[in-house]
Amino acid sequence: MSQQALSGIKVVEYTNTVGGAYAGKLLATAGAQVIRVEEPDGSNRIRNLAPFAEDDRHIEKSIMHLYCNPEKTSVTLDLNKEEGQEILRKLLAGADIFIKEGLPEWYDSRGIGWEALHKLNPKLVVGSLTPYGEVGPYRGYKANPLNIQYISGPAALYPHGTGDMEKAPTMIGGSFEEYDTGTILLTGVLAALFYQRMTGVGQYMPVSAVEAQHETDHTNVQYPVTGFYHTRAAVRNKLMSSLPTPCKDGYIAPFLVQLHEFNGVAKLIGHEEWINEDWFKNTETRQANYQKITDAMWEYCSTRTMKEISDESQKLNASLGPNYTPQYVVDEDEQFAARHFFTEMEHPFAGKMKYPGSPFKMSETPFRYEKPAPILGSGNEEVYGALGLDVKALKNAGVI
Amino acid sequence: MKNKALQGIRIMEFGSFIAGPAAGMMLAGFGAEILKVEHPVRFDGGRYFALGFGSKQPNPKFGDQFFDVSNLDKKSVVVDYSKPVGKEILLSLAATCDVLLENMTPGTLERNGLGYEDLKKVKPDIIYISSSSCGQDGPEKNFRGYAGHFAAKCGLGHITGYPGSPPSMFVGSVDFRSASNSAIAILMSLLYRQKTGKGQFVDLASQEAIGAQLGDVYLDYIINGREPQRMGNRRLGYCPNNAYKILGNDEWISISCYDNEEFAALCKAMGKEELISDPRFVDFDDRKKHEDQLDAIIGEWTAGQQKSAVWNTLIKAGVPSAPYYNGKDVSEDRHNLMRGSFISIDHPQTDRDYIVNTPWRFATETPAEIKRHAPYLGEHTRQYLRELGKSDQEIDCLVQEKVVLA
Repeated sequence: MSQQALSGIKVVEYTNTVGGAYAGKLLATAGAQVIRVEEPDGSNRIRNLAPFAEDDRHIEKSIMHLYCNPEKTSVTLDLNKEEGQEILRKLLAGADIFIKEGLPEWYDSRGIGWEALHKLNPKLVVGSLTPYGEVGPYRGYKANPLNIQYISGPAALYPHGTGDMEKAPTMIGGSFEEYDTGTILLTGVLAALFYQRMTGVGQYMPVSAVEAQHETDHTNVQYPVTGFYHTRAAVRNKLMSSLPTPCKDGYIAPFLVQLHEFNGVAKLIGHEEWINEDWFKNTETRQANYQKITDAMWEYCSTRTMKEISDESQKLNASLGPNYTPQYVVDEDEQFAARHFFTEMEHPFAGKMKYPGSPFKMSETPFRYEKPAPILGSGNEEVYGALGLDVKALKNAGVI
Repeated sequence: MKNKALQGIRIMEFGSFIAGPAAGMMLAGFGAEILKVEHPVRFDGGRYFALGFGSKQPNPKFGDQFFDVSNLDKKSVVVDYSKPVGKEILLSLAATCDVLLENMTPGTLERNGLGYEDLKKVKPDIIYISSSSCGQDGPEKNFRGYAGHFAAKCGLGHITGYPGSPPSMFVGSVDFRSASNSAIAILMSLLYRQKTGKGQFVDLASQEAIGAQLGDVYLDYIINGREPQRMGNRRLGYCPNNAYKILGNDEWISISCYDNEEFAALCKAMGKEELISDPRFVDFDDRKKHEDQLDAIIGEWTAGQQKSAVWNTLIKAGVPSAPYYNGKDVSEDRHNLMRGSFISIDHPQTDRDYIVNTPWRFATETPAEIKRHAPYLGEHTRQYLRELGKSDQEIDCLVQEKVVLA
């Protein structure tokens, strides 16, 4: 078995959000040993989040669980019981990283807060996630993913340029922005781990989901400097003829910024003569005539497919991209296929499945997707046995 | 003086716009030294961009906020890498670096003798990360586009927006996902090298970094055959999950309930406890069946209520909720202000600039921080050439011959 980037690194994860679980997933699939601590009654939020495989509401079949928890070991633990807290301390005594969610007082009152853990294991890195952070007037406010998007500003941008100004702003589709919390948390955790490896010293590293959004967005910094802020009205896109454009089998996503891209479009849509005309060459007059350009683009696109338009526009540097559907990406897209983005996985409850792969490819230490998302508590015997604990007795006492 | 998590780490960056440069900047926040290499004439196009729509085009020597947003705290080294002398200088400098990060058009660095194989000769354990739109191989390896294109290509556009309306467009912020994943890739590679002494090559495709954050959407289609659709704010895992009109123009309150407990809290907050046992809404699946009716009831309750009052009522009752904030609201919000989520820094051209503070709030050893605006073009060239042992006269010659800008 070849070495992986994070082989030998020990992680304990106690998470109920996609962000936390995704940070754990990247660690686990990069080779870290990740023990996922879960509630004995199966109430972990990720296991109970729809959609489910076969729409069967079952704690082993949540699609999000199947996606976020491969390569991890699942143990159950009741952290409201003293014996449970003691067991967690035992697990953390030998760990490099603890990924957790929620405010410090919950952990402090159970003897598993930062001070206690740091004393127990000075090299432990603790990555902690909350919606609003541990300091500030909104500390402790309840927020689900939609709410985070609404208050951190990204929702203001969407849907961008679709004309739905009477309807509420929306999140980006899927759970896309929830993963950002995980990538931002993980960046800090890995930096802290690098320092720990150099010095032997661990740290407490809290991240607020709202600030993770600011870090992956950055559009909100404009207002104090320019007095301007983007909204879903997409005024700029409209003037740049860069609104969603219907075509034969769906939509095209134009994004025209530089003059040479407009020139490419002019050639593509049969108006090469525009390239030499003054109104087209000058940014202001070209924007004033956006409707003329938009109308001609619509006509060109109406009789052609997404792939045809995308391929042709690439040749002319014309910046018209396809709005592929997720099902096209899974079943038909040649680039994702050539890159083997999808691998295969087999799960005891969900069966064999094509499985989405890695955010990037490391040449020496590729990600691994061999172990499917674990059955609840399936790691109890192995993990607690190794600690010399009586698994049966703990089960009877309701500790695990 | 406190330590830095990545002290001693040096990264050479050939970056353009956001996807590459923002990764370098994130790592600068942890104390890594970022040498931003640019060509004297074909420098980072981000220097030309005005962030605010309708703003004046900036002086590219300095750039404005757009350039700052991805290039804070870096060192600018301007060398013409297409000239053999320039290439040699960069190879010597690269030999002192731990990482090379680039998001140039695939093939550009290789053509100029600065590809992974070339770098390995001067630094065998170099970590070399190439960030591109669709990857270093495959039929679309030369695909050119912007962040919004990659989002649309993965299916993210198709699922963002309302049924019956077109798919949403995207703004440049999607690029920050390429950046955050690049930062993770670099850190994982550094940890591997710390353990084994070996470097490696990392191939990051924006469309795959984005695709990985769509994994649950692809899986639902793969396993269940359910074709993903635009659903507005609704999600299969939450009910209700929507935003409702309140008092004011384009003002909204978002409310989201994951389970019966959160729904009961909402009913109590609205003073409609009878809904808790209403057969239409008793369980999650019941609520989903009658989601339109539920949204109508909630919308009736929120209509005409003032933003902070309705949010207060909901939060006191323990209901996951938050108001709609645009860019102005975010910059004036008391929580963000108190936390210093955004900070103001000096800027050589615009006098002050306003930037996102680092989100990594280390409590003890190694505070992450961002202090300084993006470097102006060639600001540190001389410093690094001196480090390589060149005299000021030699450097002046190189400037005259247009090999470097210093």
